[in-house]
Amino acid sequence: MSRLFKQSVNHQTAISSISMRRPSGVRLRRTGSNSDPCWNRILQTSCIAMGVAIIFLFITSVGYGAEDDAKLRFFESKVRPLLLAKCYECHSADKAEGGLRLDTGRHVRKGGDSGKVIIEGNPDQSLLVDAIRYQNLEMPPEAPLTETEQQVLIDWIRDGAFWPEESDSAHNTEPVAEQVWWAAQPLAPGKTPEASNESRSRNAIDLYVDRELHSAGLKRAATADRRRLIRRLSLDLLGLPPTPEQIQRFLDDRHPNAYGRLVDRMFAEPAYGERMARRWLDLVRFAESDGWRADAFRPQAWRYRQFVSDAFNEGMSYDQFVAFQLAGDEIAPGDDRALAAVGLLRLGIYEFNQRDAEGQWQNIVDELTDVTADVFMATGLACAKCHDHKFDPIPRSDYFRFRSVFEPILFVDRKPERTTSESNAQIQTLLDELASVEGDDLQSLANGAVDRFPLNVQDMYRKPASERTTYEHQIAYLVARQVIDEGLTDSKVTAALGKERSKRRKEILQELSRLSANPYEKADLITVADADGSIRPTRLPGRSNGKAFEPGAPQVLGGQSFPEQRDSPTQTSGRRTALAAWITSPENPISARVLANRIWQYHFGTGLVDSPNDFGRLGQLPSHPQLLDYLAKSLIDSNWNIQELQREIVNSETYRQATDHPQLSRALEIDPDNRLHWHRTVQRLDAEQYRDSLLIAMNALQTQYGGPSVAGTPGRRSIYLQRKRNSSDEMLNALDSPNGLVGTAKRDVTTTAPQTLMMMNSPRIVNAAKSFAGHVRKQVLNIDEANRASAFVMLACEIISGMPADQKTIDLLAPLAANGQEGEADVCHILINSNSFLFIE
Amino acid sequence: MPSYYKRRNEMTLNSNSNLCRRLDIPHFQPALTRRQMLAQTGAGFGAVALNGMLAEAETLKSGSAVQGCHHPPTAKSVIFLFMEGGPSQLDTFDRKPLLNKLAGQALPASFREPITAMGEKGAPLLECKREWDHYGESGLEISNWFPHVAQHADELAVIRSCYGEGINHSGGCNLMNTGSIIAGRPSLGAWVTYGLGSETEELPAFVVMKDQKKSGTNGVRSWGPGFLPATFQGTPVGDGANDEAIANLKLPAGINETRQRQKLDLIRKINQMHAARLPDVSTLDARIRSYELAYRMQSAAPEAVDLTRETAETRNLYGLDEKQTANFGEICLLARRMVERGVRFIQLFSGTGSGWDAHSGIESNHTKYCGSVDKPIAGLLTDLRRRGLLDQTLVVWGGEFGRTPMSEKGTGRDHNPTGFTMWMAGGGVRGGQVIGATDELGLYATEDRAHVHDIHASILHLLGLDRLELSYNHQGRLERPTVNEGKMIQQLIS
Repeated sequence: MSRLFKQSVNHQTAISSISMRRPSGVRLRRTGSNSDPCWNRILQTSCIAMGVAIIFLFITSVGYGAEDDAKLRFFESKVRPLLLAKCYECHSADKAEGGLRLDTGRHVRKGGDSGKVIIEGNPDQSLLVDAIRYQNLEMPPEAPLTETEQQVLIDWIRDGAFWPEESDSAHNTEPVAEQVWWAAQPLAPGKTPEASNESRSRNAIDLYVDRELHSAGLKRAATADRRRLIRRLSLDLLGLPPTPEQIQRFLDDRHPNAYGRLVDRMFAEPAYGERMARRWLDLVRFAESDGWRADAFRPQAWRYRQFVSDAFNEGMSYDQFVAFQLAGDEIAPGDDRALAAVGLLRLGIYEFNQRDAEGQWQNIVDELTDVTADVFMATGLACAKCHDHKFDPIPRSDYFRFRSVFEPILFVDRKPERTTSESNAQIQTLLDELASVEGDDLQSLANGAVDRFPLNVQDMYRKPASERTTYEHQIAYLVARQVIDEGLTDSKVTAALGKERSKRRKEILQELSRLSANPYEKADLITVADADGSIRPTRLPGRSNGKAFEPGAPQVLGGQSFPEQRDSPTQTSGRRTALAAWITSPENPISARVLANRIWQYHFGTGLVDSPNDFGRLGQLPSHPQLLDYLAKSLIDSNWNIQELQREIVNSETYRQATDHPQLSRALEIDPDNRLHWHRTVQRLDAEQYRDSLLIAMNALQTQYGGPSVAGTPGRRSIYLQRKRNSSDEMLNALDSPNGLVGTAKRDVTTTAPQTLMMMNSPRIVNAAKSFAGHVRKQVLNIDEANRASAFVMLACEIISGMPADQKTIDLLAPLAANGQEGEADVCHILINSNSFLFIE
Repeated sequence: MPSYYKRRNEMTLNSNSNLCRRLDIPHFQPALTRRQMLAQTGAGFGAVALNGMLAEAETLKSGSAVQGCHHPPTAKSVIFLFMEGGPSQLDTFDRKPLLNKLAGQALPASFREPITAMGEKGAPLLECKREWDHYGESGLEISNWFPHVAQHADELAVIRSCYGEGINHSGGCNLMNTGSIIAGRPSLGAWVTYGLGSETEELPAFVVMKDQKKSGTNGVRSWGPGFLPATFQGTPVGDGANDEAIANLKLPAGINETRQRQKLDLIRKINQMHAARLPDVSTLDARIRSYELAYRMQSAAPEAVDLTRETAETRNLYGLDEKQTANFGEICLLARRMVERGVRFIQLFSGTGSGWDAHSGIESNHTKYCGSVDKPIAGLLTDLRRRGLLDQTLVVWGGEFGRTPMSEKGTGRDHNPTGFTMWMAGGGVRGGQVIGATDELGLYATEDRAHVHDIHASILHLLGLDRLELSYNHQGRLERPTVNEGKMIQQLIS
């Protein structure tokens, strides 16, 4: 893929549409950068979490007196946070400058190259106290501790330099680092296992699976029958059940490769992209609302969904897919689709009235960091935000290197492009009139909205854009958005301008809208770009100087730095492009494993690694490591062709197995979870499959592909229903569809009473049953009356479950079906509640 | 057994605990109970837990009564009285004489200026117009906005030093309900249900009731399951269409009891035939049983919410006869009936949709809202006490934050998450005491500060749950209800 760093980006944001004047006569105070309560909170958090660990240890292993209690509290609330914030950057496990570490009791007592640094009970004799008093040494070097801070350490040493832990582990990554982390090792598929005499298949997947089965003394189940196969495949690849006609065509296909031809047909359906998109949307926490209190709808969010769905249908390679989503604005700044793709970084929640703009931005970037690591690397970086990861070899520095990739990122709300050819003069006239109608009143309204922010935030906002750093641009964006969304609401504008003027204003704006020149127009596309200005160095929370983290890969995965491509402050940095390239680079073994595992899960319900978003130590190990690596390598070798891997999977005998097994009880004894794939595991329909299947049963599915979301519950596929985070669709929610607040790599499958009540009593389901019955009735009208009820049951069963009813079912339900339209509706309602509908064999 | 498979099993069982031992941290609990095991493997969860009702109830009944507990509990149920919008601590339970002395002046320079939601800069301090008195043997000081609750002073443990980080309603409510200002975590009730299950098979374990039929701040998220299975989410009662107690509880229009029963029988038969072919799939059985459960709920739930069976005296006790108190009184009385029937966690909302949010005109706002809850809450405490339920029922009162000593728009107060009051009663809590303190103006919590995580840790503790032991493996992170923070406020029980 080409890297087009050099193109500058047009920062068309809401900010530029209104320029705020600094109110005259108001002197602005500048507050220090340490005043941010959010930073403090995070510092506190890390220490409390650590303190918790220590307290636990202490209680269980040492015993616990009241005096110790007080010392412990003092230590955990005052001393450790201070050491952490001011000393550990240079004096901890990562980097013991001067041979000194201050992160464990043992090291503190031992001292550094200059000998002991503390004399318990005697602060004045302690080198550490000398240093913080800037007497011989000057520590910390950037700036002395405040007097209060100095006093904390002095008091602590005077009282004996209490250190609660008895082991060295609290700030020590050595035990973890020395272990081998499987997911970071190079791909090692080994040699494809030899086919045994009994094996019916030459498919490599089957050979890997069979090898494990054989050594467990198990055999694969037989191939499933065609009816079950087509239902499985169709729901899997398209998210839709096959119609009786489609089933019949497949049953009648005498071609030796009938199944392969079926697979080919399905990949060609637009529904394939919709199905794959739904899975991806789960992972990236897609929803179309703000997810805080107001939960405002985001009318532009669908464009991201469209990109995903199109990408799958077009067979876009995964490396491109990743690059577009992380850096679409950098690699193709003029391309709407690329700008929509990088909307991945706009999917998070947003609070429309948060005055703590700095804390808000902190949270936003944290979330982007976490989501990126989860989605593309299945690596829980979030743990390393506050402390070195306890289980995985991820030091805190890795987190901040990763985070710094997003340091310059700016939200961009793009206005619709001008499509008319009207003269600029006409637009200018209107804009001039708008300015005169609004007068100073709107300006003061806007100023009032800005005044609600902390003073240092107001400063950043009121700075001329050309003088802002990237960080100031980011904060200014958040302020500007509130000024418009909250400060200039219709009711406030009307109150400020009076009826006459606000009426005229509305007319002008309408006219300007028509000319695509309304400065208040809502964005038609939400995306990101790197902000102009100097890029703020990424530092530990609460630090305004000291070590800055450069963008780069986690150490355990190579640790290479990402090249900076910025020659001028208006150029995009290329950081995200570099990240995307690294994610799908051959040196990075984890991404291909993660993706191969997700695809396996899409087709078997469970991944080879049953913790799809955690390939770390708290996650599960792969059941078939060589198979996983084989699949990962196939992906890379095929230039990240997702469809090719899916084809190989669905064409395998492993995938095509039946659910039943001739030696069921023995197999269950050996491998109750079916991790070895000795048969097909039954799966419940997911929420969208459920609803879309109902629409098909009702003959009410509208197959229109793509476009904006629709409100209410029309006949469109479920992926197109508006998704709001605070108010989910009852039906989808009851069947465990995620709400988009956090990414979901594997959905829960719950059985709850509210779910059952919905299926029994909700008017929506009862009406669905009626329509379903009507659809079936039309098709059995020409059958003679004596057989009509049986035919009704047969057909209804086939529509809903892919299998015609067996004799017992007919005996049970036909009497009801003979009972008029009400009876027919009851039959359909019963079938909607049947497990043969809800479960895929 | 194949080598990889074996290795996987061994590693799964051993690696974490070895690692834990080496790191000496309680980040991981070996899978001891079935519940933990299920949570960690994620296998067949739906098969055994039906809305926290079926399987858990069976467990509880068959074994010791408190199988899910980490230590002996003092409370079995919780009634959380959530005053949505943020009641003023300064005018109710936290008297500040200095405030009235300095009223009209700016916040003294010695007080750090907080970031407030509405950001009114330099607003003068607003006096408290209440009259205060000392109540009970304990002499708790309570304002005349809560005359009835004041009669229960000796039951109340008033925590005056609460604080959190949510300066807006959304973050505040999210923190108070889920332990984080940012959306996505499970609600406290969901954690409790996950940890303890239910003692009723016929009602949901976690019930939510509102004083008004409208959406509250953050909508369904306030009682959502977060990353826990939906099994543990709260069930709104009295919020459904057609006056249903629970959504979809009523039979569909035009379908009578006989027809419904006939359908249920046929569903069971068809599903049993289907399950016979797939004997290894436990979810199929769970679904079959869920129909029986739903059927039982259809008769149990309407009975549980039928207030006609209550005496006139009881109805009066809760203020059901007075317009001002009827709405909240009704859900308070329902809460008692739920507790009697084994519901674990009941959350009541007063001022649904930020009703208590007195940015201006706090006098009229709080007169109205205090007046609407005072008698019902007092009635609830009286009723629980006389029925012997208060000792095992923890009642918690509070909002998402308190309010500022500084005025807003002249007559109101802005949000104050940095120092506010909550109280607890019953459930083993020692009443008649004050815990912690705010500064002289009630702006910042200063003594024995109680973060919302401490409040949550305490509620969990009283229910027999340890905030660290109660955990769920979500995406490889062992998540805990208080985000690994907070601690039991020991003074509550000492």
